[in-house]
Amino acid sequence: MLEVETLTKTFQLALHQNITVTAFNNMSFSVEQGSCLYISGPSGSGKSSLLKCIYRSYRPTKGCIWYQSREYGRIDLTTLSERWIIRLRRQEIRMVSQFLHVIPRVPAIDVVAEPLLLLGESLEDARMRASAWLERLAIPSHLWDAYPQTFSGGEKQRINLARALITAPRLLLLDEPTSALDPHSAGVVMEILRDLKDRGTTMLTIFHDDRLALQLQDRQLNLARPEKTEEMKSI
Amino acid sequence: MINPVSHEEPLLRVDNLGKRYGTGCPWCDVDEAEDRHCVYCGSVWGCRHIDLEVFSGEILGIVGESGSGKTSLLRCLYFDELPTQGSARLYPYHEGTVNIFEASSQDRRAIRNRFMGMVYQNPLMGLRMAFSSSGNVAEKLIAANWFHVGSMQKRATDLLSVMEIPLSRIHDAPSTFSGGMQQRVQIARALANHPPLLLLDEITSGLDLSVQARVLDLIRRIQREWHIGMIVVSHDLGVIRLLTDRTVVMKDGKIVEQGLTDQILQDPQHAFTQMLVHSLL
Repeated sequence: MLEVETLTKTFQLALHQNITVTAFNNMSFSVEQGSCLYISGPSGSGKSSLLKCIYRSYRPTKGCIWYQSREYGRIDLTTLSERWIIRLRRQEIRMVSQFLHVIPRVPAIDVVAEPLLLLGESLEDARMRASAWLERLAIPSHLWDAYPQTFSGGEKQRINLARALITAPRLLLLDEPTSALDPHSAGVVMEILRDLKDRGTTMLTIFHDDRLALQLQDRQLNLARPEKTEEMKSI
Repeated sequence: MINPVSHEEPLLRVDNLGKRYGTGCPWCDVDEAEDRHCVYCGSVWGCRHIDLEVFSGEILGIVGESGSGKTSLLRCLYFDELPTQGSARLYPYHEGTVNIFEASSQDRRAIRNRFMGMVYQNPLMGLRMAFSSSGNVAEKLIAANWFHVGSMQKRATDLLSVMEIPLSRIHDAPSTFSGGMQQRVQIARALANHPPLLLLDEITSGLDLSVQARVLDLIRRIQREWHIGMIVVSHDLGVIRLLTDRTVVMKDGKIVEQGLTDQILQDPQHAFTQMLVHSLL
């Protein structure tokens, strides 16, 4: 489903004497469809940068990212035009970050429904599916018409998740999706993610808590040793 | 002249567009000249070497500091100014095979009225302040050969309601409206003939934050429901982040970087873009 070949990401800081910062170097790995790769490593080892390169929020410096698209076959995400990346993001690949950036004063239910509207669904159907996801993610119904800016960190994170999951993506990139959640809410999210994985969704994940990662992962990629992919032992 | 817009062909393709203010001289055309001011004749390039594409259903952002040529570019595209060089092809006009700047004056009027809408930063430029709001919308309809008064009234009322202008006020002149309401009447007027391309120039500057949010939500809704292409010019990176799919960065009249909006904001490549992004509050 995803093959990363000798991927390198460096940042050229033009405002700081043009110094070059390397996020990661010559990284290669592959991920099978329906499996979950847990990306671990200390802060600053390039975990988020790797996900952002795959999502193309960062421009990869060198290497290839081969993705097996349902609609368009095997394509290299590093050279794909922006227009195709936008199309893939709407249809197949979603990323969930820790932060929610949405237009102010738009109700939570419409924030969640928006990705479906962009795919051409009717407002009524999109809202119905959005409410189902909000319910599944345990967002109280009296908050559905409220603005997410007023929500707690954990609620915002679940809105972010609902927005990503509502289009049933094939490839899900999760950057600390449970960092602001209490243990109960984190459990709810993990159950949903396990269910999605069982249904064939491929995932690349970063978790702040190894125990959560163990519930989901098939393999681990430790960025402290990027050249080696280890099989994780189950507890 | 009217053709359905293909989703694969660019709705608008701009090649090597340039606008020079002043008489010009042979030195002005030297491509290597980095300075946009010509020391020999005093001419200034508002924008130059602009290449870009806009597709149906997407919003392209244009950012840059004041004087970077953003508005010059939009004004050329809307025929408010004639460009000095370059071409622009609009798919609904002869399927994008003809440069719109070479169209006859009659065709240019038709393109402006049927295929494009423009929302200016200053509502005084986009609205007739002495007309009623519905009259402002109707004027665009008349320009596109609508004759039936009842149909025009209905169309104007429908559009102004979508823009959340109270029905009780649609016969009032925009001069009696707040800045946010004037902008929404401008958007209604620009959309009167359901144009495939909408040009928006700093539409939220000068509006208070709550009105800004309402206008931004309206723009997103129009994009989703009407599936039209838009160019949004703004110096506010927050507006660009929330509204656009792709972004072009301009400096000194030229494009210095373009890419996916989140990539421009999170991984800027050019020194100027890095400076711009790091200045974001």
